[in-house]
Parts: sequence; structure tokens; C-alpha cells
Amino acid sequence: MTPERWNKVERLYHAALDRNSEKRSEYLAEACGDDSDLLREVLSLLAQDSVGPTLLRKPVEDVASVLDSVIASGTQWGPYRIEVLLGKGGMGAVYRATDTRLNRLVAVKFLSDDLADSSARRRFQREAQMASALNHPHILTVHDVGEFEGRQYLITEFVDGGTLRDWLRTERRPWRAVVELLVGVADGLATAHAANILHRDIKPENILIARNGYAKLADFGLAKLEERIPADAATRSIGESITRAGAVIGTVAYMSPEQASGRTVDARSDIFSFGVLLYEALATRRPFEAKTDLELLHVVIHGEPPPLDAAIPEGLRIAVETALDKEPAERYQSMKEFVVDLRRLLRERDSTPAPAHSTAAPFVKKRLGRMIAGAVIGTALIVGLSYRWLDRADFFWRNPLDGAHFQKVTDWEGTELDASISHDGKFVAFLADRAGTYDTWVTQVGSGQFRNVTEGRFPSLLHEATRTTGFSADGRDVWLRTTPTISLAPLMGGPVRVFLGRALNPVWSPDGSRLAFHYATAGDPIMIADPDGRNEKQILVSAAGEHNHYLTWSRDNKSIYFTHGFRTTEMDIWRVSSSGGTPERIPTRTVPSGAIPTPSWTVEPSSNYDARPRHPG
Amino acid sequence: MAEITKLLKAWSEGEQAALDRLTPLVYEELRKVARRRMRTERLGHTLQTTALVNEVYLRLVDASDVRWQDRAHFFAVSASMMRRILLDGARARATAKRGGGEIRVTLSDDLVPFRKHDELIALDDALMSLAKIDPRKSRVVELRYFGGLTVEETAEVLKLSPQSVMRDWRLAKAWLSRELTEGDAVDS
Repeated sequence: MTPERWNKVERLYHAALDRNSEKRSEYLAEACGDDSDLLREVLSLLAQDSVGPTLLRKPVEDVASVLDSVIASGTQWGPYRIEVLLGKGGMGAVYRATDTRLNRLVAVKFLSDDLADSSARRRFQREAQMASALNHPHILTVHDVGEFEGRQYLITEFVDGGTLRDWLRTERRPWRAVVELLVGVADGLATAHAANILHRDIKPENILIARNGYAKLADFGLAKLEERIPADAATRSIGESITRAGAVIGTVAYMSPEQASGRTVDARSDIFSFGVLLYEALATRRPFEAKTDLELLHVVIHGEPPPLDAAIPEGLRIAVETALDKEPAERYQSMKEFVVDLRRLLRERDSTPAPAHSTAAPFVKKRLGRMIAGAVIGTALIVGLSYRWLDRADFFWRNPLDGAHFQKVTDWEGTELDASISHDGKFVAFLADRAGTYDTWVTQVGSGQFRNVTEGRFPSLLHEATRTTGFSADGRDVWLRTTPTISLAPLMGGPVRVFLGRALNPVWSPDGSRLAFHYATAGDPIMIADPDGRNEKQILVSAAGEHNHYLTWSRDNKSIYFTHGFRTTEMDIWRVSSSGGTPERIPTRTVPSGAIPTPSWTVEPSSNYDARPRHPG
Repeated sequence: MAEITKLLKAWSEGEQAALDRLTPLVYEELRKVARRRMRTERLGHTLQTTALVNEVYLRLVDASDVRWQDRAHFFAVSASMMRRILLDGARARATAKRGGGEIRVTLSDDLVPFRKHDELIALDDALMSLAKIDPRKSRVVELRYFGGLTVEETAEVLKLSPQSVMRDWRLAKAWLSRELTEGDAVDS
């Protein structure tokens, strides 16, 4: 367009605007004459909304989100090569990267520059180290921490999927699905608490759900880094930060009353936040809602949540209410207790609103309700002497116990699980919560004498997805999951000693000549070693995010059976030679949803294996 | 500080060479302040360009010794700089996004949507097209949008009457609206 023509367009545009709309077209028709292009040009400009593009309504803002510098794809330092920016959040930017050393995908999280000063940096490093010591299948694994171009970063495992928020958005989930998904996360949180690490920022955005439906709790302890508020000024500062452009929006909803009022927090604050999360997942609405964050703070501190739907089992409603008690002393006192209750609920076959405790009025509540639930569900541990392992299975394809001789070992209130029998068949080791915490107990069959081996020292013994106790090859020790290590405790008493670092599921071959275990790192590498744990050799590693659990030796000492693809649709029993090589899938019959097939031997090893479903919990 | 004040005066009095010396000083300071502000304020909290430019102004210029006209000139320099800084950032992020497909992984908060950057890039492209036809109108938009200048300040910087700025602003918005919604301009 020539300047002359543009001048003409401009003049006509303004002249037309000066006229009212009736006279406008008449004026333009006359002014443009035969020049229909000119008319069209002016009319198309006049047709635009006088406000102009939305973007121009006010001067450019939100400079920060545009300006924060981006690390280019292909940038490499150490073993890490940046692939792509996945997104930015309040705490920094997240990239997908490759760890070229191990050729695996990782997530790199650059913390925002708040952490630039040296004391913050030290704190970050220390917190990251603590978080990386957390070794749990439902906690996002921290691989590394460091500094690149003056910015602090964390390397974590890469989870390809969405968040709990996305998961809840896609469809309305039945209570069982919600609890099954979150009980593992709850267990992860319990493990962290046992290591004196608080999360402090539990919310759906911090729970990642892999495509295979496996949930992981992320950003452990990082929330603390954001906390630069002196304790006495906390209330005021929180109030201020909220009025300031809602920096805390979305988080207040999950705060405990003590957190919201700026008081000191402990594990019970996380328990409250987890309760909020569970409530929201079950009810698809938050327990505390308000129009503004300041009002929300008030509701969190003083308000009572509306009752959960009666279709949700009463036990579960009570559990959530207990977690949401305003008074920390009235809540669950440990995450572990919460987990135990959730697992009990999952084990209840009847999901209708608990007729068994209908006499306990909901408001006579909580503690009493939980005690009743415990008594009703209390299990008895039964050992069939001719069996090596007896899982807590209540579901068999074909009952291999037909004709077996049963001998009752325990008759305790509460729960006993994960029993194993010593090689000579004389002793049984199992987990039980008789003493309040889950401990490893041993007994000589028929003696009626029990010994509590662990006496509350190892909360890591309660774990959903691995065996956590068993006998050593010579039967003199029981092994214990003492996160992050495996330890040995003498059967007859004596000091507990560390045996393997960062390992899970140690199993000795039937001839006692070798030990198999797997590391709790990405892909669960399966290792073979001498019986004393020396000369380890990796025979298999899976892709990150896939799990290999419940290792079981074949009778002939030649191969190892294991459950692969834990909790995915592909979950099945696989076999790998103890000398390595390609694993082979042993297809099992359809496994009911939520159950985990675990390999286990029957008396007659003719069929080689017998996969029984094991309900998580 | 004194030097900047002097350069501003010289430029508003018509000395173009002063602008060339002013630009890099302002650019550096803007970047520095923006970075520092982003450090102390969380994302999700918007950082307005006017607030940013004001802060840089206060840091660089002795306000007691400066007429409001000179202040307008300072903001005018800043507007171009802000545009450059913002667009560099937006383009870098858009490139990162194109490399990344549709994967979304959140490690902490909901992500800042990428859409904003695409919009900003589209606006910048449209402004460049407009500058070919009518540089003054493009400049009016730059000053108003990227510098947060008022009509009066824009008029001062461009040595126009406020009425002319209003008219330019109105037509520019209509032209940009059409350009941005229809994708291509009617060009004859």
C-alpha cells in the first residue's frame, strides 16, 4: 500500500467515525466512488471492535513469565542433556533431559532464583539430600542435586503422565479406586515422616500419576525452602502474601489450621493436608471453600467440612474426619496409623456403608470407631506347615490348600501379614501390629512363644509393594527392610546389623549358594550375589517406572521369578535366568483389579509356579 | 545517574546521538531489575512493565532534576527495550515448546500457559507489518503497550498533539485487530 493510499484510508476512517452510523455508509460510498477496494479496506477497519485486541487493553504485564530465561534444547552439562521445557511453576522450571551416562530420561527442575543466596543454597542442598535418601516406590526419586550457571537444580526420575488433579478431572472415581491410588502415597509420606522429613505442601499438583496409573509424591521438603517467614511474623506474612496477587492461592486449601495460623507444624500437619486431599478426591469438592484466600484461611481454622456422602464406607469417612480434626492431638498421630486404616478399608470385602459398626453413631466418633474397626477386622494368622510361604491371600484360582493340615499360629486382634517359614520349617516370621507399630515377630511353631524382634524401631517394615521381612539362608537371622538398607537381626536376639544398602526383597536360593535382591532405583535392577551379599552382579534392569518385585528362586536354583510392571495393566509374573539374559513372561490368568500377582511355590512344583493374587494392603 | 539525566535531557532536546548512548545503559538496567524482581516475587504474581520501568527510572535518573518530559523520554527508550527483552524471551519459549510436543508434567504448580507467548509474538509480527505502512502508529502502540506511556507522554515523545495520538491509537488498534484475527492484511 502506498503512503498516499494509506493516508486516504486513514482520513476516511476518521471521517466516518465522526459521523453517526446511519450516515456513515452513505458518506463512504460517495467518498470512495468507484474504488471498491478502498471502501472495503475502510469498512473492514471500521468493523473492528473499538476496544482493539485483548492484549492491548492494558500495558504488557506478567513480564516474569515471559522473561525468565529458558535453557535451550541440547544444552549439556555433566551427564545431563536438556531436551525440552516441560513447564514452569511457582518453584521454577522443569525440563525433560537425558542422563547420557545411563541413557535414561530424567526431569531437571531448576529452582527459581530465590535460592541464590548462600544460606538458602545450603538449605536447598541439605533438603535435597534428605529427600534423595527417601527410598520409596511412591516418592519421586531424587537422583542428583547441583548447580548449573548459578542456578540450583534437582534431577529426579521422569514421570510421563499427569497429576492427581488431572486424574480427578477425567472422571468421577469410586472410593476404592481413590484409596487404592493414594494408599501408596500415604505410605510414602509415612516413610518420610519416619525419617523426620515433612512434606509441607501436599496437594493434587504434587502427586504425579504415571500413564500406568502409579502415583508418586513429588517435591519433598521443598516447600520449606519457600518459607522465609520468621515464626512470630508468620500470620501477618501469610495474610499479606495472599492479598498480594494471590501468591499462595491453591495452597491455602490444603493447609492445616496450625499452618494457616502460622504456628509450628509437625507430621500431623501433613496428615491434615493429606486428609484434605483424600476428602477432595472422594467428594470431588474441597472440605474448605471460600471466595477469597483470606476467608479460606478463616474457614480452615474454624470451619467444619460438610459430611462425606453416605455411599462412602463409614470407616473411610471416619478416617478422613479424624485426619481433618482441627486439633492435632485429636488426629491420627502418625501417618502410619492412617495407612493402616486405609489398608483395612481396602481389605473389607463389603463396601456398603459398614453395617458392622452402624451402632456407633458417627459423632461418638473417630477413636472409638477405629477401635471397633480394628477389632472386627482383626485377623488370625494360619500357617500350613507344608508350605514355604503363605501369603495373606483370600482368593485362589484353584485351592492348593485342599487337604492341607492347618495349625493356627496367632489369634491376635489387629493384623498379621507377610509370614515366612524358616528353611527347616520350625520358625515363622511375620509382621504384626500387636504392639501398636508394625514389627517383625518370630515364633517357633507350636511353642506359643513369640518374640518381637524390632520393637517399634523400623516403621519401614510396613510396606505395600514389597516383602519387608523374612529368613536368611541359614535361618539364624531374620532380614528386615530398614530403609534405605536391608538389615539382619539374629533370631535369638542381639544387635541388628546392616546387610545391604538400598536393596529390597533379598532372597537366598534354595541351596543357599546365592542371594538375589533388587535395588530400589529406577527400573529395579535385579542383582545376584554371594550369600553374604558380596560380588553382586546385575542380571536385569527394566525401564524407569517399571518395577520388579517379589523375587522368588526356582526350586532348581537356576532362575528367578518376579512380578514385573507392578500395578500396571501389563503386570504379570516373569522369569529370568540367574545368569542374566532375556526375561520371559509367564502369563497368569486374569488378575482381579487392584490385586498383585506374586509368585509362590506350591508343594508339588510340577506346574513350576502358582501365581496368587495379593491384594495391596 | 547524572550522566543518564544529562543524556535524557539532550535527547528530549533533539540530540539523537544521546539516544544511542542511553539505550545500552537502560537495557542493562532493565534486565537486571527484571531478574532481581523475578527472584523476589513468585511467579503467578504479575510483574508489570510499568512498575519495572519505574523502578529502573528511579535507579538511573535523579528525579528531582528531571522534567516530566524527560521522564517520558526515558519511558520511551524503555518501551523499545522491554519489547526486545520480552520478545526474546517469548520466542525462546515458543521454540522450546515446539520441540516438546504436548507433554505436560507438573512438578509443583499448575503451569503458566504458553498461549501468552504466542500472542505476544503474533502482536510483534503485526506491529512490524504496521511499521512498514505507518511507522508512527506502530511506535504509538509500542510506547503505550510496552512502555505503559500515557497519551500525554506519548504525545510528548512523538511531538504530536494528544488528539493525534488518540486517533493513531484507535486506528492502530483496529488495524492490529484485523491483522491478528484475519491472519493477513489487505495489502494493495
